[in-house]
Amino acid sequence: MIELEVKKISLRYGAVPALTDVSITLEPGKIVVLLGPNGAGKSTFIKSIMGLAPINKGEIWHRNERIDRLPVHQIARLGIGLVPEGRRIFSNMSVIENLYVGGFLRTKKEIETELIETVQIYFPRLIERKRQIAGTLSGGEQQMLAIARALMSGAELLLFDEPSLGLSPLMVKEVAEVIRKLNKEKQVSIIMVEQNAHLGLQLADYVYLLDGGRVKMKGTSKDLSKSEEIIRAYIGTGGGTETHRTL
Amino acid sequence: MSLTLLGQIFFNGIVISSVYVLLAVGFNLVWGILGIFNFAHGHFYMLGAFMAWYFISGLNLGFFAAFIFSGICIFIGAAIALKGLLDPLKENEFVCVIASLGLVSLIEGLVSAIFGGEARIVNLPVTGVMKLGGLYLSYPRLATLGISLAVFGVFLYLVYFTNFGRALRATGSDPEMAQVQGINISRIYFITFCMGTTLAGMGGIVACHMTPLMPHMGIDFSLKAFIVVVLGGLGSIPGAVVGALIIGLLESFIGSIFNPTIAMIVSFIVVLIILLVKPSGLLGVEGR
Amino acid sequence: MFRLRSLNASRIWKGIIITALWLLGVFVPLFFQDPFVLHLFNLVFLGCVWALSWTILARTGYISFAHNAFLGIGAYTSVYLVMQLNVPFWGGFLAAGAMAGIFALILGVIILRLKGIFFVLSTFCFAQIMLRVFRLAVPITGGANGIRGIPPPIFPLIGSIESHGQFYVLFYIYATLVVIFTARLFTSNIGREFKAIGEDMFVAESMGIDTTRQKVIAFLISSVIAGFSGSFHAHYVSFISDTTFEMIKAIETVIYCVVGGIGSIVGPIIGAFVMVPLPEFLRGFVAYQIALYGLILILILRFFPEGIWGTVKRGIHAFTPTTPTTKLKSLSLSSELADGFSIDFGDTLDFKKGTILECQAISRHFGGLAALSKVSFSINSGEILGIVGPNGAGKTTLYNVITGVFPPNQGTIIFKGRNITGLRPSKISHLGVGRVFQTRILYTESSVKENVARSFVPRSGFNGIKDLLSLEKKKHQWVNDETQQILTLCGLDPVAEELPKNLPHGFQRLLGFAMALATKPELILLDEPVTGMSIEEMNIIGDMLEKIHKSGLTIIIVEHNVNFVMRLCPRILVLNYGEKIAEGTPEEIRNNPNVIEAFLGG
Repeated sequence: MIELEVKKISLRYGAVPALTDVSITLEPGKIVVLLGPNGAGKSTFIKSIMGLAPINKGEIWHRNERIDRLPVHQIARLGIGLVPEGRRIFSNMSVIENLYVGGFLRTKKEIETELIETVQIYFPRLIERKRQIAGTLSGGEQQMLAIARALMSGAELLLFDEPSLGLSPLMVKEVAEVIRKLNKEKQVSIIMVEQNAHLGLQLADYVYLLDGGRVKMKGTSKDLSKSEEIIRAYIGTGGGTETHRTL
Repeated sequence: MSLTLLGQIFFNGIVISSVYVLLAVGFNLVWGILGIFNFAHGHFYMLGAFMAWYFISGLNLGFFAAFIFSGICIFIGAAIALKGLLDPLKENEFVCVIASLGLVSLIEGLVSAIFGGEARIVNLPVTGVMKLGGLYLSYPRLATLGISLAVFGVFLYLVYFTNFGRALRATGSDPEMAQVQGINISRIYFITFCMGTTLAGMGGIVACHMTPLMPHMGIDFSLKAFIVVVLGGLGSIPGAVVGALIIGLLESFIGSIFNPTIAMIVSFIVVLIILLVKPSGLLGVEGR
Repeated sequence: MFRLRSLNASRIWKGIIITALWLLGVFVPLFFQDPFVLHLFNLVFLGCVWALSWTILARTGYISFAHNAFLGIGAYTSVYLVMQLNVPFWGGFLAAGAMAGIFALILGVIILRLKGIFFVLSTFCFAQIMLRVFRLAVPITGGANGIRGIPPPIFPLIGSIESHGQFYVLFYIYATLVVIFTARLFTSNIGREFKAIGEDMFVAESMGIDTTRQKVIAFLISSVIAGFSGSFHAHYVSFISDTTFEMIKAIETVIYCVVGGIGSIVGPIIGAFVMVPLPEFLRGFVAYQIALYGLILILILRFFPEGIWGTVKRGIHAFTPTTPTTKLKSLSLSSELADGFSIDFGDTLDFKKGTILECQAISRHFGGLAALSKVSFSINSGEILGIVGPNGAGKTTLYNVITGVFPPNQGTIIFKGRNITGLRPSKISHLGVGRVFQTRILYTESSVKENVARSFVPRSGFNGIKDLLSLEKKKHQWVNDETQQILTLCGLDPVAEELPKNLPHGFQRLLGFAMALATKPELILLDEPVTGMSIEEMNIIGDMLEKIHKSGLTIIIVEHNVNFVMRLCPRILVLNYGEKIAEGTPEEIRNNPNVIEAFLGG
């Protein structure tokens, strides 16, 4: 059974097309990464899966259930979690309260189990600081909290929106470690969009290259690692597929 | 100015403050979390007071029965106002404010028409004073203080120690991310509005005996709620408490020494200064 | 051809209807002798003025609940001067307006910097304070007891105005003058700037409109008229007290305007005609009057938010032919200029050579976040410079600092040899820096052509009364020629008469572009001009930029699409995390390892 299937979705903000005919497939337990330069539509893509940005065309399927018309809180109920761009933890609440909110849909017992089984093991520092106000945590700790919060619902599919943004290289390494462990040890399926191509290629089982709202390339990370196309998409070349009248 | 007089003024100020806490915290909820500036907030306070009068003096019910019934009526009224008017207009801030002005006229007009414009006085079945040192603490006022604190306590428990309260605070902090955690924010908004408005109503109920009741006192209390919240800081519950204390005591002191009208003028000038200098208030969060 | 004719025809019809209605009003007192009916009319006329004066400020997007305070200030001033100091009526009248104006000036300068709901609330506070001052200042205002026996107005040569019929004439003239004044105001340059401020204050300021000055002027005019009305009101009803100016009076204006239709001149007038007599017809239901006001307001807001006039206008529009949207969608961009064409910017492009813009060590932080760190660069007159960088690199912040939206924390910006650091955006726009806003259109109810023409306006100068009284035709002449040039350059000819909101996206972008050109910049800043465009569209934009560049304009382009920038710009700047990490030719940038790192992450 396919974990997530995105079928030719298109989305526009007013008259500006943000995504055009994008199709992605995610197998259970795998990590799929979308790479691409700014303005490629990566964030919009993640938002559309979570229901935060309604699509104009196409369908989104999660394990035999169509989810593109559902309200956000119902998509959350299906076991899909989001680690958003910029972390967006509830800054005026404590760490432990953030985690409780993450487990809003569950019973107290389930929350406590999750805390012991997941948070204590993968994010021990968060447990140490559980009474600290979330807004006072460092950038990296906030990112860990955002991930832990998303896991509290028992989510089996996690969406990551640029997890490395604004983090020091050391923290990026730590975050990458946690993501990798979660995937391997807890079989969490992951869709991630990243601007940092190196990080994306490291973590991914399968890669899609998004540019101008369209999928330009796809393949395993091994295939794409050495690809010139990727570099071209990011910083342009003299030749390439897009022509422009010479001046 | 004798010490006992000071003490008396201080006690009165505290009682007034406790009522303002309910009024302001409710306003804070509605404005801070839903983003709706409800000019008619004070009118629900006034409604609460009038209902209390009606149940106590008109129907001769006990105070607690009046309290319960009035509270329920206010809650229902708030639900109707929200669903019928304010929620559909939530998109545009200005239109919402003007709509709330419509509510002001409607509620004030109806109460005037039904109950008449003369001032009413509520006589509680409880009378008498308690002597403490040289101070005379009237039982009705003590009751007001006690009930206000009790209601506030229940409110604090709800907001800080329950799942619902966490959902409420999360929604206030980041509605999109609250949804992502599975919270139905429409439902939260509904309950928050009704809760906040009912708190105002309860303020009116417990304070119904302290001043003569007139239909057009509604606007005054909306303004008081606004003053306290701006002073204390939008979005901050401790701020609302601090603001309520300051304004309540200010009113009591200046009102006793000079005159209540001057007290209101001073309050307004303070608010103007705050709006210009630190619009986020004393304890508020910047950029809200 | 048909269109042109119907336009003129409708204008003639409009004139006939208005004149006919006005004449009707003149003859009313001949047919209705009943003083009660005349009294109603008088109140309606005062109500029209009341609503219109409020609308003048509302046009800038600032909603005031202090209008009743100014009414009171005017009333008490006039009454005090006439009754206590024996000043003739016209003196009291003028003083009423002046006093209201002084209060408005002081208050306006203080609170007009507040935005949105905070402005509204501070006007509310002011009104509350003034109401209580009215109650307490007994020697002047009579306090809660008020002032009785206010004498009617006495004019030299005419004598005193006694009967309702005479007041009718007075107020009819007053209302007519105010309507004409307001109508002229709204169509004048300054009135259009009010509207622009109401649409989008940020863009208006960046396009050269001194928003602070215009807001204060709007507030002033609005309040002075309220002051005059206060004087008339007091000398008409002969008794005032602090309850005369209660908050319901402030809410009244809102009700009139909402019921009639906000934003127009006809709307408030209709609103006044409908709402003012209403209490009289509800004599039996006095108690329910206020409730009814509220109910009407609620119903209108919920179901007819455009008010009576707005709904009528919408109905009319349903019957006027407009270009079907499908036809619009099929239009494609094209820039139809022959090579060698260039825009004549006249004498504004006087800076011919050398460094036109220099940024020295610009730093800007927000809270703890450094958006820009010691960014330095310069650009020569006539260059095209590209700026690229990942998200959050600080590109938009850089533009904001250059155009004066906020000052840098450190560093200086020198434009044409002059230090412009920290100047306000409208001033910087006047000096020759233009910024293209892609989709923020200022005049949503005007055609594309008018939008471009109006963008010239802030530069063509304004001289108060002269502006209002001038015959607009002459100025429109030269504006028309230049407007046409820009329209053709930007390929907007096919859509010149359309409303911006009906345009396909590409044309909207071009319109933003044309409007920036109309402000006659020497340096133009483009923010992501081709994001989301197809390749053909990108080519056209590229062509157009080339042509404009040849005319002598200096251009800076910020873009995500690095290809586009590389092909157009001989020199490129790369920003990352607020710092300049590279500068050079496209070749150099492409091969710069730091740049590759920054974009691909490392």
